[in-house]
Amino acid sequence: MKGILFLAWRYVCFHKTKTLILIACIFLTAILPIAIRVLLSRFENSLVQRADATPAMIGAKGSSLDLTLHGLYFDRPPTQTLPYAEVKRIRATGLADPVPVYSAFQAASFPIVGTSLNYFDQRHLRIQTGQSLTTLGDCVVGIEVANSLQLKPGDSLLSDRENILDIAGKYPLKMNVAGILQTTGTPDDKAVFVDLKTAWVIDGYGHGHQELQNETDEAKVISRDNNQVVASAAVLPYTEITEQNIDSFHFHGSDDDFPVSAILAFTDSEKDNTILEGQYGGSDSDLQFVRPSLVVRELISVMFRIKRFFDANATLIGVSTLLLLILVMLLSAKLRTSEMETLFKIGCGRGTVIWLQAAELMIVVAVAGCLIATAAWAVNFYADDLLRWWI
Amino acid sequence: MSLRPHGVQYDTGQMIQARNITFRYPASSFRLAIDELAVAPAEKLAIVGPSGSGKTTLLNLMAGILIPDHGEISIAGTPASSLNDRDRRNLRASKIGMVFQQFELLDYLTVIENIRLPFRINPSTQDPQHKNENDSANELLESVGLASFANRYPAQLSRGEQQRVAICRALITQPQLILADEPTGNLDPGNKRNIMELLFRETESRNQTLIVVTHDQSLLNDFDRVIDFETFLQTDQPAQSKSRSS
Repeated sequence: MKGILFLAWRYVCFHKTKTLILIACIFLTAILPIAIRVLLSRFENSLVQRADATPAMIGAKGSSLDLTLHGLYFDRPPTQTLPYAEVKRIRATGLADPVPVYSAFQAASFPIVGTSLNYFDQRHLRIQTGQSLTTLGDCVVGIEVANSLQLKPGDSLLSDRENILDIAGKYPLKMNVAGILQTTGTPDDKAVFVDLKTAWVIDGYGHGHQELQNETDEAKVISRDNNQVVASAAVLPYTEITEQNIDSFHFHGSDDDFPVSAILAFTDSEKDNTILEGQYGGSDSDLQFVRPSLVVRELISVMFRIKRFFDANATLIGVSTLLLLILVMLLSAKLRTSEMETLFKIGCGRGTVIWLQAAELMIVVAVAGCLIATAAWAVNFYADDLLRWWI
Repeated sequence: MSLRPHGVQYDTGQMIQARNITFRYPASSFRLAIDELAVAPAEKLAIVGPSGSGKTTLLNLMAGILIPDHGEISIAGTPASSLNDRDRRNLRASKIGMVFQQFELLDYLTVIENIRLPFRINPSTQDPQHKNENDSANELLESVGLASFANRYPAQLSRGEQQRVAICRALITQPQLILADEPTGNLDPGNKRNIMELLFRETESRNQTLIVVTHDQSLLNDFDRVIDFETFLQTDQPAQSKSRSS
């Protein structure tokens, strides 16, 4: 057997190109379905875990999938928002801890998520360096944002302008990086968290500018009465909230009317969840109640229906590759008739000659198997990174 | 493995002894029939004859590769016909060295690996001198003037050099019988002479029997005996074999 293995090894080493092509055929045929299986499984786990950790979500009526993906992954915001008053109303019922999410802007292409401090508790987010949100204009960034933009506490981060050609549009806000979150392996790693009020400032609901009560420059004041000063466009709003100007920041109107894009409702029991769901059941309601776990499982079932198509495809490719391998081996055996006959004539058994070719195939399959195992291990090991990068 | 039969008496003085053998390939009209043929130990025998006359068939019968339909052929005192496949294979591996017209070296093995091939493919084959297999192979390579070619591949050698390597492969197990089927058929005249001289020198030095099938009349003078296969089969045997006293 040792001699047969030696000959087989020498044969596959000598015919490198043929061997590498065969190994590549087997490797590529096998690794794709394996990698998809591993990644989908991990993706499913990650989706389900985050969805299961969010018992309920409330948003404006529309696509429940869009709302769920926005609330969980800060995907593009729903077209309709809901008023902040709804957060207060839910809190007043005592059925859930309502966590508002308002994510309509970005900073360096990362989503800016306006929320309350409850979010950090409910998602078990921990500060790695720096501190949590304390002042208007502060932000806490996920670890990937920090790594990508090389941020550290004390640095500043500018929100993206919505439209660079709209000079009358909302001003970008220069935010102070207060802290950096620990790695979570979730979309929180790729988000910039600010207080809800800071998000409203970015959206133009609140602003700060120089004091006008004592302003003498007529160009900056259009009209003035005892209580009110109407400023002209010459008064520029502040684009950074500092200790010196923070007192000048104010909101026009009631925060009850300010927008949030979703409310994550963390209920304590299924009973509370059901009662809360019942409050949004009427057809006249402008709001919708969704259970993220149900929406995500529906999404996964669609995903796995598509995967079955890929599985069938992979099976066909596998069978084709197997047939191709058999064809190659048969052709090779035919081409090597003379060699096998010589081996027989000088004392090698017919069975040994067959074993020799089987050993060659086994070496090719074994090498391909090792590569597949290594690649599968790598995909499994880096699955989270791959998913973060991919999704 | 028992190479000696029980209850059957053979002339153990002959290297090859064939009696009343016939052989026919399936679905072929060709039939080989030999009443008696004997080859003495250390004899140098040439078999000549036209293509298709059965020279290679006889060589294969002598090697135990083919089994006669009738009659018995003994190789080194062992009746090949009564052995099973494995014992015939072991007999071939240990007692017979074969040299082919097309050299039949494995292109994926180096020269020295090709020479050691019989040891690798048949576990029953061992170096009779219990030397390191590499030592035996290197000695042979040195004796045929290819000592520096040990790690080359067959494709890097000339035809004459390849045949010399093939002869080394046939000699490595120190067999009692060397069977060569047209060993010079693919060589130029200069190489033909060199290869035949090499075969004679090496087999004589080891006291081995050499049976060569050839078309080349110019090579026949050095043999102890020449069998003209055409006349050998057409007339009574073995009277028509042309003998040359040694």
